Amino acid sequence: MKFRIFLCVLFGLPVCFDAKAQSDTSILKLTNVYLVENTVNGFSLKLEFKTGLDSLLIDDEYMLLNDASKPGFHVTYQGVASKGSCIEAHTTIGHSDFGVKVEKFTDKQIRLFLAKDVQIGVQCDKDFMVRYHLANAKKPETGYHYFIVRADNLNALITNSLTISDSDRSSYVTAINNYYYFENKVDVGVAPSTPGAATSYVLSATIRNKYIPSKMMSCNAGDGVSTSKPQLFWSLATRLSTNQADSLNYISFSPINLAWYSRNFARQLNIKLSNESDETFTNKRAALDGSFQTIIPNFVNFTTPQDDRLRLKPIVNIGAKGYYDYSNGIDAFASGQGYAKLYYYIPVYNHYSFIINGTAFYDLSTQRNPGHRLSTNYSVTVASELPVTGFKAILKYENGKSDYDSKTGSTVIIGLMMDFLKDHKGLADDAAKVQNKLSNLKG
Amino acid sequence: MARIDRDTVKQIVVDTLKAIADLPQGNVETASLAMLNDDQKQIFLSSLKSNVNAYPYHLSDGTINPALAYYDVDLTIDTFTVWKTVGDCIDWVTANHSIVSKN
Repeated sequence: MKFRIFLCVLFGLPVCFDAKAQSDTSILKLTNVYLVENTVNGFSLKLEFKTGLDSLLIDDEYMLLNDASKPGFHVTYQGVASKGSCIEAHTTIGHSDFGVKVEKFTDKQIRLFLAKDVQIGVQCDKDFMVRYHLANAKKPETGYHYFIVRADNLNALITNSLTISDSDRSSYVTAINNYYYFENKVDVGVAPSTPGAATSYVLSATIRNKYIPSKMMSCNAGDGVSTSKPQLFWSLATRLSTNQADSLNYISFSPINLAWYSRNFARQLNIKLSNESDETFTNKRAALDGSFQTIIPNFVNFTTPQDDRLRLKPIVNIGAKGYYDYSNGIDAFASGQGYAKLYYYIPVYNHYSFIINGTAFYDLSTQRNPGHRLSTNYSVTVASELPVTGFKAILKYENGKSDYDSKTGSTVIIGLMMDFLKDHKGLADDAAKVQNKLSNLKG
Repeated sequence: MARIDRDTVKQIVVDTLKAIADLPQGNVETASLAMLNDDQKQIFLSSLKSNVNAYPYHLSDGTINPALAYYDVDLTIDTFTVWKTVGDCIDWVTANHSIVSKN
């Protein structure tokens, strides 16, 4: 009996070792692949392969320093390696997943990238090995886990599971536009009745769009938007009211905006050609406007050491414009104006804020500014955030002189602001994903 | 390993914030990011990405090898909506940054 056991152990051992070796170096089954967009600085798309090994951490040095474990990706054009194209592919390594970052592509290339007929795609050159260890182990005393990634499997996953639809493409281009020119915004409010005016409803809108956002993509886009090359876009800023006589109403449409940015957008130089008018187009003018925008240090503090709030620095904009006034009922004339604008969000204790939006301007025209006085217009918004809802209750007071028709006025608006486009379910999902990742990291 | 730890990410985020704001005297991580306007978000995101990219790739023995790889984080203007506080931003970047091979 003992001899039989001895024989079993003797002949069974190699099988055990072999089984261990198999389990330690098994083929990694990739569960999915999806796109991650980046629109900040250099535009890029990342193909991220999901491994399902969320409790493990990839050894990035092992992948980067060993030729046998270094994945190689290349861009293909009509199935073969692309030559002479600027588009680049680089291996990326996350916590437990890896991928390939595609960048420096033109508008034409991105339209062909992973489209239905896969004119431009990404392929993995060869099999490679990935080494994992437990995510919460500072040093991998518990040992490593090795997996082989088959290039065929990976390429099949890209081909079969990843197609960028026209809708995805459009969403990506919109995301680029929204980063550089901001999300288009619409606010609504109610101006309560006063002795001289009935209750009115007010709509404010700011819309800025590049004519063809996809043209921002270029072979140099990996380095971010060029600061020497101006960006061309159009814009519309308006305040419309059911009370058309409200002197604060305006429509400013700028078909040509040129913007130069410093590194990280801290300073901007803008030149724009605009038509400015009131809501009824009675007072109107065409203007050529040049301005410089920057951030300046804080100059007030209404918080206390107990109130943990950021004090955002004010944004100032200094500019000058030449204009041609062709309002109804006057002889058209040309003149100029210098101005300074301020946007300042001032936190007050823990829950309240003042938002000051002001303009001071000096008009050179004797028709519009016969007294040669410096004029101002401003709005002060008192805001208090309503927890959970995402709404912000506002009380907004506007006062001052319109800079294009010299009419003065003031109004109080009570309203609510919120981001209508916010996808609350999507945000909750994103937050849950991050929480899961952090839980794994903390072990 | 060579990932950026949370303390280093916190330092990067705090340095980035200084471009647009004065920091609270207390715990910066509880400070709300809800009040940033579009200009400030644009500056913050661009600076954050630049600062993550500029942090040199660290090997586990403590040496750096910027020629081998760099750190990166994928951002869009919508990324901001998942950060209610500075702490959320630090957690998100810690969990979502990646290492990009240079060759």
